[in-house]
Amino acid sequence: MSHLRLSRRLCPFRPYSRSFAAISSNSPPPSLNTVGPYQVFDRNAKMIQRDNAARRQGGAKSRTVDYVRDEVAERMLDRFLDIKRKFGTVIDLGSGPGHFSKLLETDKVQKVIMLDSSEATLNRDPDSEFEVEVERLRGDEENILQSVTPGSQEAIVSCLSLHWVNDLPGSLVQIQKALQPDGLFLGAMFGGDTLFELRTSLQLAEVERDGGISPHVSPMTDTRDISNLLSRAGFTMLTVDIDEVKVAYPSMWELMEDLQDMGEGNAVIGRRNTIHRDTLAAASAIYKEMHGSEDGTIPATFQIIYMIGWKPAPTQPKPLERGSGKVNLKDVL
Amino acid sequence: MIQTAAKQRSQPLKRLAIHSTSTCSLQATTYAKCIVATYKDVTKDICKEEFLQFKICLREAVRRHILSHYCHLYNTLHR
Repeated sequence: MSHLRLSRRLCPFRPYSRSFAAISSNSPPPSLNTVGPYQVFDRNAKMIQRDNAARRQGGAKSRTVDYVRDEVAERMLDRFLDIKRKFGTVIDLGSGPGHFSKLLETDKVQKVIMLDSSEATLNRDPDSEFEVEVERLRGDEENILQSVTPGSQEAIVSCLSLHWVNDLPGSLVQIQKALQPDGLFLGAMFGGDTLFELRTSLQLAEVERDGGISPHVSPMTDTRDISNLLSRAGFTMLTVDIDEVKVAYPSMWELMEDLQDMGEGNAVIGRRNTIHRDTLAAASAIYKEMHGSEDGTIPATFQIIYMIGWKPAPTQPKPLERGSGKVNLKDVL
Repeated sequence: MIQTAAKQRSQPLKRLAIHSTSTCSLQATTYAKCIVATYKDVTKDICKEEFLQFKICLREAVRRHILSHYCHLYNTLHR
């Protein structure tokens, strides 16, 4: 009997069972023993998720869940319009189908280069939806210098893409390098408390049902770290602010379905690929009880970090040297 | 009608979603209240009994769902 059990365990062929690997076979292995940025996200899995999401029902599914990105793109445009300058070319890093680029007008920007790693997402919407000239470039958001010549860009924008980047400090450095002197970087990314309701509900359900937790919601960048990261990457004249988008859903199930259609499924390395149905049902109940609104819906919080940074240039205004003031503040105040 | 029923049958997660939020909402709330009452010190199976009731309800709901689906299929085929 024990012999039988052993041989079954050793038998490599199991019909009708698909074994999911934590890391897809064609992504680079996480570098555990090398010096380098810590690998948190499976970028290859993310690309596949986003490709699939954009292809579902010919893009119709993906279009219905544009609401978060469209809202954030509009808020980002407000910040962009505050900058009194005209641009020839702007790079939209991690553009997706062009949520931000679609809003641009020709009196401000001549041309947009959309750069994204997911081909299907990049080509989801036709050029006719854009007012400005567009060029689509498939490339790695994490390594912008692979697709762009250093020191060549007037402005780089990024709308809700940097939260899937493994090496955020490195990516910011590359963005800075890609810019011309006095070039602009304007970005928006999910951070801080994004989806904390979902995170906590799943954690509680997993602890109570399975007796342990595994990552289902990505670790997010803390708002306070962003300005440090920007200045470390060599940007000056920083502006960082945060904002929240709250969306009400009928239940946790609709939230999870929409996240999947957005291509925002879990892509943390070492994630558990299945959640037991019991755990999901438990999490849904907990979500509603802990966070639910009075009208029976459940809220989902998306926290957005907006950042503006400039590449230093000698022409930029600089603070005067300490002690060079001529007017006594005491007289003014 | 068959198409929608078949569609629902092919999406077991959708079915679970419907039953866990509407059909068994009472049991779900009882379970969640138990968790919320102890959420600072949740351990495995701390609300086992409440979850069991929730699960029984879910199982029953799914069973009835499938049964009614086949009844419907049977009736339309043998009309």
